[in-house]
Amino acid sequence: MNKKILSVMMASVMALSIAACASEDEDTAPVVLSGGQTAESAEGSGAQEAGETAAASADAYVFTYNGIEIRMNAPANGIIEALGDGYTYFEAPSCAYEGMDKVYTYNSIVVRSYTMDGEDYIAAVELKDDTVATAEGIRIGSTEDEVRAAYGEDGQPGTAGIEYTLGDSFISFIFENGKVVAITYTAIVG
Amino acid sequence: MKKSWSHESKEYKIYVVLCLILGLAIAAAGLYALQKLLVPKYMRGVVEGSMIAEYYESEVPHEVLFLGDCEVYENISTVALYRDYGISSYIRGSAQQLTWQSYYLLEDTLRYETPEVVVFNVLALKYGEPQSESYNRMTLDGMRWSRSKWDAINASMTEGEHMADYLFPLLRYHSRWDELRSTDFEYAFSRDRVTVNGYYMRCDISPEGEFPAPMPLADYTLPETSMDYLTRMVELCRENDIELILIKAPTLYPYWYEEWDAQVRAFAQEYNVPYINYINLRDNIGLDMSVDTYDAGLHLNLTGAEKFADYIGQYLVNHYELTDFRDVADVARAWEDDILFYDELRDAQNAELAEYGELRSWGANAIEN
Repeated sequence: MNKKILSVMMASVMALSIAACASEDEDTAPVVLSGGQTAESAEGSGAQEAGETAAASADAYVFTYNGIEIRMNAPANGIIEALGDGYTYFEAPSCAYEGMDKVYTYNSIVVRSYTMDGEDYIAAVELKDDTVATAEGIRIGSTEDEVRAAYGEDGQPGTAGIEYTLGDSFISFIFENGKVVAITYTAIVG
Repeated sequence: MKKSWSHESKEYKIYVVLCLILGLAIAAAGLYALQKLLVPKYMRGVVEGSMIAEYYESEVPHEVLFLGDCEVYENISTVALYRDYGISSYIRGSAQQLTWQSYYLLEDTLRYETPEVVVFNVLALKYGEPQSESYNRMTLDGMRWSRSKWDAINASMTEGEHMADYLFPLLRYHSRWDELRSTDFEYAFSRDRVTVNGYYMRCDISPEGEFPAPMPLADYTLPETSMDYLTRMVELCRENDIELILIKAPTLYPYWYEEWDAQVRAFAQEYNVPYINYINLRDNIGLDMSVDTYDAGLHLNLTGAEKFADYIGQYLVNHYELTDFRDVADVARAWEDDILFYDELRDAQNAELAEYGELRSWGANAIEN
């Protein structure tokens, strides 16, 4: 009799314990103590990551600078390494050290990265001057008509320009007096 | 003589029921203790997750309530407001606090008290969608359960988050077994205080540097969702006879676009609420960003937060009829305790700076790895 009662008690405990674990996906708990992890992410393999970037180009916009393909949301370390040392650097930790926003300013482009789970990923690329162009041939100084001819009429118009989305990225063209004054590629995160 | 019960007897049934209740109680207590152990404590380095819950421990009334992200909880000294003007205030701030979270925190606050003035920092208006589970947790887990918390969670959940995980945090954190640190055991059932009425103090100095140029945007329209919640905040304040003030803290990064500023200014005009962008008033505040910031200009340090508080305090006493709580004995006594804690915290940080040249028990250096 006592064994039966003990069994019922044990079953109750186990049922509650299982309920605590079973309804949860097997992913890990949210990262809440990730400050300082960005330094670890400098160990990524540059060549391999650059290769992965090229292979995944159909999922997002890719900008090519000095022969290096920069895909939005791609691992950043290999790309930054491949781009060389000719940049100025700025970094700002996110609130509560939840990540690090990094900005690499080159002669003609600005590359921004974000941190997720201790790894850096490409967040955005901004074209600074007319010496560089998108794969579709649009550069600062191109006309609004040339942008629509190259990218189509289905862009999302905004207050200052137009955006085109591809996979987990979008490209923005900002206009003044009918001409492109800024071009940015941006990753869609999350 | 040994007593024997038949399975059909009333005594036996009562015995079984009592044993079941006892078993469930033991299981519930065990799971409760397990949950207490496994949830993040936010006691070292990343303390931002402890801030929201601290409000409920405050023993003084608050006539001024600040809402927002790090631009309020790191930039405004609540003690300076009290010491200089007798203003009793609280900062219900949290890391990347989203506009709808600020709204629901206001609702939550109104369950306990009705401030005279609510000050909302507008930076978070740029976010129209939930951003991060980690930040959500830092804001939402500390709220006491209420309809406001329920609604705040519903409005904030990112993909993959579930209400059940907030109801029973053990569901979310059971896999933290291998991440447990000494603080998880030390603070399983009680927490230290990490703010002074919501103000997070930093005494170190790192001069403001140069920020990268802002990235141009194709669309500067502030998201409809955040602007809707701002409207609801205006209405909630009016219903409760509260004066709402919109501010933009004087820090320059993350960038606050002119186009966003114009929209907030237009909103403020439409709804007849004050909006003060302190970026343009840095000189008036007296900020010297070579010494008044601890992280190269992202946030103010103690000297900066005291200057900013002094400036805001002057505006508040000039424009609103606020009580000088230095003349209210029981409130003044409680504030004296807060001031003591504030001064001790300042002295402890300054001692560490003198010894090591940097803070080791606060901020990034204190994060447990």
